[in-house]
Parts: sequence; C-alpha cells; structure tokens
Amino acid sequence: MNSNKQTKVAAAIDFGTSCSGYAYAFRDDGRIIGRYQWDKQPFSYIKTLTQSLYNGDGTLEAWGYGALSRFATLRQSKESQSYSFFPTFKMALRESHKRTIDGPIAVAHNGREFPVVDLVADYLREIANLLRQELQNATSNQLKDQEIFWCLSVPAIWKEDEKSLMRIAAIQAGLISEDPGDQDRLLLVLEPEAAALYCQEKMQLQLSVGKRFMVVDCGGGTVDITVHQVSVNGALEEVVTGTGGAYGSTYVDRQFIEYLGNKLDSKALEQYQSQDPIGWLELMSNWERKKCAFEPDKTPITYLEIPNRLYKILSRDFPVVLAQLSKDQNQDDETIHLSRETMESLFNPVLDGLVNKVKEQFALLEGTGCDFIYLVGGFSTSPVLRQRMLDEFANKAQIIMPPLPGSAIVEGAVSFGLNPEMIRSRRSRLTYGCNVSRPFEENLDSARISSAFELDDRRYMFNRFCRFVRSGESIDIDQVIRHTFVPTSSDQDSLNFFFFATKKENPRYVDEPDIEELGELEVDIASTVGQKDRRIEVSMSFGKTEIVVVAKDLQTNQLYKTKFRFSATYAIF
Amino acid sequence: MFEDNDDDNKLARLIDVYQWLKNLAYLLSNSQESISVKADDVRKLSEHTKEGIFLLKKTQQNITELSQQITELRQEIQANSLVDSLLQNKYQQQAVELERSVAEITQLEESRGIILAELASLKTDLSTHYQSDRAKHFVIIDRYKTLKEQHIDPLVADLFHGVLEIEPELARSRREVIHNIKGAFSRTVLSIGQQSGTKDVNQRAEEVFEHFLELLPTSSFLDNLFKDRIRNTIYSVLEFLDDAINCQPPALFIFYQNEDFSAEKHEPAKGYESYGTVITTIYPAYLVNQEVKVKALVLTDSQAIEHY
Repeated sequence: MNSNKQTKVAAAIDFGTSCSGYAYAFRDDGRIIGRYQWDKQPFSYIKTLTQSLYNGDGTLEAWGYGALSRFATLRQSKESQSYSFFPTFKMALRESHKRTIDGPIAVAHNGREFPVVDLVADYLREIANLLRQELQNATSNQLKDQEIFWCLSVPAIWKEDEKSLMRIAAIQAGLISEDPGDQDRLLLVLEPEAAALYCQEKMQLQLSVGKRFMVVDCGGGTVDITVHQVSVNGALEEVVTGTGGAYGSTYVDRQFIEYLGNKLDSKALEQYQSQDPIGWLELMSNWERKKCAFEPDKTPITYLEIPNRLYKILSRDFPVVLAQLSKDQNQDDETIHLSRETMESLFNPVLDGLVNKVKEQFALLEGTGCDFIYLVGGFSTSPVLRQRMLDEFANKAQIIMPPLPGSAIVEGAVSFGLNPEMIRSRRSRLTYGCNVSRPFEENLDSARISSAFELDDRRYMFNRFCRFVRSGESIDIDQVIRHTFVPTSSDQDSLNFFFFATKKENPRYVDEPDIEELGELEVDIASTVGQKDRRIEVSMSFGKTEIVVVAKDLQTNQLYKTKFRFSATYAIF
Repeated sequence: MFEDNDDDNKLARLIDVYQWLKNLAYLLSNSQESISVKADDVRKLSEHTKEGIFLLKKTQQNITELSQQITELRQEIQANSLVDSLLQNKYQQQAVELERSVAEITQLEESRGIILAELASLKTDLSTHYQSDRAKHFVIIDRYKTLKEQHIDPLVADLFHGVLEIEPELARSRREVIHNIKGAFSRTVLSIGQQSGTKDVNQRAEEVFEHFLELLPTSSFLDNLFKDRIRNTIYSVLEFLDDAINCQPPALFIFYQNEDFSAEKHEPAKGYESYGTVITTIYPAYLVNQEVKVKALVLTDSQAIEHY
C-alpha cells in the first residue's frame, strides 16, 4: 500500500495529554463522524480520558473512563495496590527522566514501572479497535483493515525521536504492520496543522491566497501557537517557527480547586474525591462547562451545583461549611456562587501567560503581522479568553473562533488524511545534519586539537557538523536535501553516518553542547575497496512529519536503510 | 569520511595528476632502454598477428555455417507465421477483454467505496456519534444543563424570595417550595412547549408565561422587570427545545412519576435518597434513541436524614 488514495476511510485519533478521541470520514462521502459517548463516561463529550489501568500480570484491565471507574471500585474494596493506574502518560514519552533500553519509563501509583511506548501502544490498540469495530458494524464487515488510512495527532514541539516512538507504538498497537510497504498508511499529523486545516475548511470564505493566520490552540495542558499562510494553490505554508507554553485550562482548574478547597474545606473535597472519583470528574466536567461559558458582562454569578454525595459529606461531617454557605448565598447551600470578580481572578494568571506568548509570536513576525487569529481547542470556547484576546489583539488581526473548537484537531486530522497535500511546506524547528571530516583550520580548531587526525601529511577534524537544513528554514513537502560523501581512505570498507539535531543555526562540531544524536546509518562499501569512485549520496526528506534518510552507493546503486535507529536514551534540552 | 565537493579533495586530485606527470617524465628519460624492449614486443606482436589471422579464417567459416542455419530457421518461422498470427489475434482479444475487466473492476471499486460510505452513514448510531453536517446532541445537552443551572435555578430562587415577601411563613418549607416552582416551570415550558406545534416562539412563550404565573403560589410581587426576565428565560428554553427536537434523531424529554427509582435515569434532588418510588420529576430526562443522556431530577418517597 503506497498511497493513501487506495484507502476508503481516513480515521484520526486525537491522542491528547488528558483526553483522547477519534473521528473518521469515508473518502467517497467526506462527512466527518465522531464519537461523543464513551464507556462509563457520565457525560457526553467528544473525548474520553487518556488513562489506563493494568492488573497484577501487567495486562491492560481498562482504559479511558473505564479505567478510572474500575480503579475507583478497586480502591473502595481496598484491592487497588496490585493494580497499576496511569492517570496520565502521554507526556512521559518526552518528559520522563527515567529511561532504559525500552525507552522512557512511566511509574504507576503503586510504584510499578512500565515502558511508556507500551502504555501508548495498549491505549492506541483499544481506541483503534473500538473504531475498527464501529467501522465494521457500519459497513456490514465489508471494509478491509488495509482500507483504513490512520492519522495520529502529535504535538508540534515533539522531536523526531518522540515521533518515532509514536510510530513504534502505532505498529505495536496494530494500526499498521511492520511491512515497509504499509508505513505510508499511517500519518503523524502535527496538532496545530490539523487545527489550521480545520479552520481553513470551516472558514473558507475568509481565507484567500496570501492571507496569513495564527492558530492559537488552547488545550487542556498547553497552548500551541503557529502562523500559516495560504499559498497560490490554496495550500498552507508555515510562516515562522511555532511556539507554546503551559497555559492550558488545567491551570485555571487548579486555581478553582484551590478556591473550592478554601470555600468547602479541602478535607471534605479529599473525602469526596476518594469516595466518588467519577462524581468528582462530573463536578470538574460541570466546572469545565461553567468555565467555558463565563462571560464577564453577562454572568454576574456563576452557579455550580454541589453534587449529592459531596453535599451529604458536608451535611454529615462539615455542617458549619453549609451553614456559612447558606448565610453567604441568600439561604442557598446547594450550589456554589462564584462572583464575576472571583471568576476573573481564576482566569487572569493563565490569560496573562497566554497573551505574552501570542505577543512573542507577533514579535517573530517582525511587523508583517497576520490577518486572522483562530482560537481552537476546548479552552478557546471561553468568552473571557476571547474577550482578552480581542482586547489585546483586535487591532492586529481579526479574531475568529470556528464552530466546535474542541474538535478542531481531530476533525482537522481527518481532513489531513483525506487531503494530505494541503500542507505544502513547513519550517524546520531544528538544524539537522551529520558528522563529516574537514581540513583543520588553525585559527578555529586549535582548541579542539584532540579531535584532529593526520592523513597524507595533512591534518583534518573528524567531528565537523555537515548541515542538511537550518533551524527556521522553510522546507517544501517531499523536498529532498542531498549531500555526497567519499571515504577518508581507499581501503575503508564502511561509512558510519551519525545524525544530529540542534536548535543552533550553524554548529561547527557534532559534539558541541545542546546537540542531540538522533541515530546512525552504516553503509557497507567493502565491495568497492581499492576503486577510485566511491561516492555515497545521503538524502534527507523533511517534508513529511518524519525525517526519512536514504544513503545510496553511487557506484553500485545500493540503497541503505531508510529508518533512523533512534537512540532511546538522550538528553532533553 | 569527506564531502565529495570539498576543496581539499580537489587539491588531492591535482596532486595525483602531478605524480602521474612526474612518472611520465621519468619514463622518457629512460627511452633508449625502452626501444630495445619495444623491438622485442614488436616481434612478439607479429607472432600473435599470425595466430590471429588463422583464428579469423576459422571464424569466417563459422559465420558461413551460422548464416545457413539462420536461413533454415527463417524458413521454419515463415511456416509457423500463420499459427503465430492466429495466436497474436487471440492474445490481443484477451488483452482487450482484460482491459475491459480492469476498467469494470475499477468502476466497481469506486462504487464499492460510495456504497460503503452510504451504508456507514445510514448505520451510524447518532445517539453516540455526531456527523459534521448535523446538529450535535452533545452541544445541545450542554445547553440544557446550562439553562437549568444558570438561568432556571437562579430565576426560581429569586421567585421564591419574592413569594416570601408576600407569604413569609413559606420560609420553613424553602426546599419544597423551590422544588414545586422548578417543577411547575419545567412542566409548563418543556411539556406544554413541546406540544405547541407550529406556533411562533414569541407566541408560545407568551402562552407558557401565562400558564406558569397561574402555578405560582402568588405573583403579586412581580414587577415588569421580573416578568421580562421570566419571559426571556422561557424564550431561551423554547429556542433550545426547538433545536433539541429538530435534531436528528430528535431529543425526547421524559417526566417520571410513580415508578421505582433507577440510577440509570433518575437523580434524586438534595434531601432525597436514591431509592424508593419516584414521586415527581423536577427536571425531565433528556433521551436520544431511548438512551438517557441527562438524568431526570426527581423527588423520591425516601427523604434523606440531614445532620444540621
């Protein structure tokens, strides 16, 4: 299977930090279908929790809300200790400090350790199987597995080895096979690009050639900001390198929980959370709705109902709290009244951070600006966020919020799967290159004399950085960058290429600080020992969401492995 | 390894050329010795030439024999040409048929894709899934919850305080009176509102408003501002109701009474236990395809013991 055109369905999984969901569309129909009701989820939403529960044998017991629900039951029956619960694990792929030969490691609540790739693979397997089953039911079992084109969302800030781990997890999960011919059936879609596509499709009338728009993706944990321009053929090109930060809505939630703890007594909250974790999530889901509906001009008071079980805990063990509520709230002790000022105080620290990040992105545009700002992600439904953005940036760009911004990534990923050529270029976030030997330069290399070697009465440096692409450079889709190399000596029987990535624009040596080794490629040139023409061409394809490296022996036309063998242990910047 | 276009490599190649020229000069300086060596070489070459001429003659003979064989084979081929032509025609016909079959398969494959898409569209369960081109229940469900919590509940709380001004003795049965007003509101707006057929929303809102006022313990405290607030809330609920019942599949609002409490579809109001018999419904359940999306808020015949 070499082309996504041969598939019948584009199926996207938005694998999020706190919540995940899926949607799909048949190529011959184009309408996007998504799930909004999940097993054990007490409310309707397009995503379920990105959580997993494993039993004592290390086998996946439950996932999504099912995991939380089962874990709550186990806790109540005091059986939870032999089970391993992972309330969040996606970001451990990047952030885990513990790494072994199996890659990054996540630690469960009971201290048991699991490779993150296995956790991701197990979760993807379950969610993909649910989707597969649904497609089989919908097509009376007439759809072949090979006819599904998978799109998997990944954060834009992820580097190549994290994307590679996601691909490994997807193969392990059975989305695609290990067969090289099956690799193109999975596309890793960058989250802001999916959001950009969603905006472009939903707001077609407002976008024309040359227009620039900024996508501010306000998710649960983070905010990702990118700027794209509509090219002549209607495709999108990234204008400047994207940015982001930890200004997601969960930070407002933390402020709210702190406020709630002060208002109702944090011990009562702890008691409630432990007795009824699903009820707690319902409370937080209600808060989410209130948070995203809060309009300072129209909502003088936000009312949040106290769940029945929490109310019982309060009336039994904390009656003073209810009495105080009744006194403060005109005899109402069944809801919590949040004043406009209180609500604003919960939002402000996060909004300040978000606004500064957008300002930084405008600064990168160096006065050229952009035409539109699209607010996407669940948090962007918040009127207070929108109002703040209007106050700060309405004079710089038209601010638009597409319908259902929470489904922008998953629906955008489906659109990407239906039409992947929409994004024509992207800017490299890092400088990529490999090792090469170059003549010693007295004035520049003297400090690193230990990296020099002598050959035919001349001195060379073996650790110079041969750059393929510079950080910030615009790269077209399918653009291939080639460099040709020759062995150092005529009797050399192999060439070992080591590949590196760095934020530095023009590094001189591969072993400078802040340069990360991505992997290596060994090229066997034993058959041409003693011959004169021994050129090896190395090409890097940057256009897709992963980097593909091919080495070609120009004399024998022999091609070498196209996949990086990524190192599982590496330093994080 | 080095880069192929490196200046240093170019220099290395120039050095190679220089070495070659140096060797040539050396050879020229020793030319006398070379001449006698070359004479020997010429003698040897002459002997080889004789041998070559002999081989050439033999080869010419072979060629003559091969030419004869070719002539014979050509004759044989001509004899078979008729059979070949027949076979060729047959193969061409088969090729045409194959091409036609491929085109048919391609067309069938395209039709299959369309049929699969249509089938999936028909079989998609819209009580658990949304379609990008249709109104979405999960959005409307959120509106229902927000209407109840942000608009109806506060309105009813303020109505209760208005009622208290006229009938202060009701303060002792605060919860009960509030439940009654909420129940009256939702039954009037959601129940009667659903049955009002094709009437304009404003007209329906006015009818519902009049009905609702009749159900209040007293309405003498209501000034015009308060009345407008009630009308606006009724209007919002009716708008919501229209969207919910025009959704595909439509939402259904169910009021329960005199049946066993079920945690699947009922949620007890505060002060009531989650067992026993449902006495009445304060807010109806929201159903899609018989599936409860929002539970009904009900009063049961089992009141909770409260500790304060």
